[in-house]
Amino acid sequence: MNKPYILVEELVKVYQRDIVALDGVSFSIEEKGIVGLVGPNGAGKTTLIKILTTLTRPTRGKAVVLGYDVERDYEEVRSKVSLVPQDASPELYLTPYEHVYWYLRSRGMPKSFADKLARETLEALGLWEVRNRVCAKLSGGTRQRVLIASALAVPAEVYFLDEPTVGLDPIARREVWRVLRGVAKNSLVFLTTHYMEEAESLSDLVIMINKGRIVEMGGPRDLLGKVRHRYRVVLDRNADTGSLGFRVVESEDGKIIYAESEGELSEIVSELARRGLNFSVRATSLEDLFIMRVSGYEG
Amino acid sequence: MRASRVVGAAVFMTLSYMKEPLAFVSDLIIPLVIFMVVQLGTGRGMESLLGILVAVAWSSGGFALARKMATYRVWRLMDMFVASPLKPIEFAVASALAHLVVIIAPATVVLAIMALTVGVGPASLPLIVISILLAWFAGTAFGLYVYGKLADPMRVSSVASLLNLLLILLPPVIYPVSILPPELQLVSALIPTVALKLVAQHLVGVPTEVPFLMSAAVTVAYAVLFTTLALRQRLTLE
Repeated sequence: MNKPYILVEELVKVYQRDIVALDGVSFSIEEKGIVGLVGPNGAGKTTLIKILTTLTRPTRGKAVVLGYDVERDYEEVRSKVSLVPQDASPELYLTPYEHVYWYLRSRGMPKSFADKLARETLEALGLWEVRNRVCAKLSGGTRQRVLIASALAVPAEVYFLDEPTVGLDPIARREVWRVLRGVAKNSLVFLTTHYMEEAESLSDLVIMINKGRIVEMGGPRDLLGKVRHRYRVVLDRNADTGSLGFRVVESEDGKIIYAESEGELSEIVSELARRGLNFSVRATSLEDLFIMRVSGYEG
Repeated sequence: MRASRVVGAAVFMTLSYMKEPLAFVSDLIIPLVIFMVVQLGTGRGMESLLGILVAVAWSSGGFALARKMATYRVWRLMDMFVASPLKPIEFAVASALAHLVVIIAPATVVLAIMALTVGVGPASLPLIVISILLAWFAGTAFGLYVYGKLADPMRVSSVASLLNLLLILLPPVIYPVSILPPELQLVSALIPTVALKLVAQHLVGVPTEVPFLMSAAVTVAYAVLFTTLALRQRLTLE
């Protein structure tokens, strides 16, 4: 039997004695592909990535990458993974080519191989045109792509990307998605994001995390299948929903009312229109499953 | 340790300095002003220039290296190097080598001034280079130790500035030791940067009241101490 790419058992991380970042996280990833770890800020996503890439030690529990324990066998783990850290910056006085090439050389790649990998990755990520311009003169999104290129050029078995598409415009984001899909044909890509639609359209497996605990895990379609309510009605954050008679969930987008059927939706819409409230309607998504799990809306 | 990884990381760090070849000029202004005052006032400019070379090498190994590593931590670039086959000791050696390269430009300028003003023969050159390497080595070990001690990378810059004041500008590194009263001359020789400068004076043949053995013993003691402390830093996890 093949070893799982990642195996995590009852993982706990406590900072400064009482800040619990991870609270008994367990999961196993057996197959290559793209895994999206989603959750709000402070959910524990970055801490989990830091433990899996040997940047920080767990307080309790076990984390194994490619069969290697992250604490005991950290050198083996480091030789087989590649990382894009969150909110990172490239070396500003280097050009994209120098950045990718010399990062590969620092990992021990021979000259010609590093040159080939750097060229291929820069081209794939649309950076070839700016390969000789120093990073200081590039836009924030392009600098982010230089970091992604540096990490993806590495022939690793597992790639960890911590919120890699933050700051990218929609076209650049899709370009990165395309490259990640290519990389995931032969390796595991483990990425964190707080864009639920990114996880939904990109990932083969989605792990939802909140307050250091996994709240849902599965393929995007399987997870969507778990949502009993098919529609969401969004009202203004300040809308008076006091005596509506429907259950209302507060979210970052505003107040949400979920409807299981078209009949129930019609009932809700009529009542809101009668009261003269502004609202919008759309089909539920993974984001709604997350909201429901966190708020206890559906089981 | 793999040489290819060390060279790769060293070049990665050096390239940013190569793009700013004149960045050192601002660092040399105050020391060169002190040299001019010393040369015109006492005629002991050679001591001053040797002190500047020691200061340049110590600062590059010590403060610039610590600042660079702190910057990489703030930029999270350090995380990319940690999560890679590059071993902590390889990264440390690469940083040290990168900062040795950084010394070349300012040292060349100071050597040129030395040749043009106080006069220095080609025979002294290897001994001066040895002095620079000694200061770079001790400064690097010191810088790695200081960097490892500071949990907050934002504090590295202010701590480096304070140490620069205490170890380079205040003690008789750039100005002659002989300006101090005799009892303070021996005390000042216990400061690592002053001891390094006195060793350089002895090697090049510039007279000093402090015995060579004392300066050499202090230099070796500090080099061993800082290297031991640097190697004991937890460079692996967290």
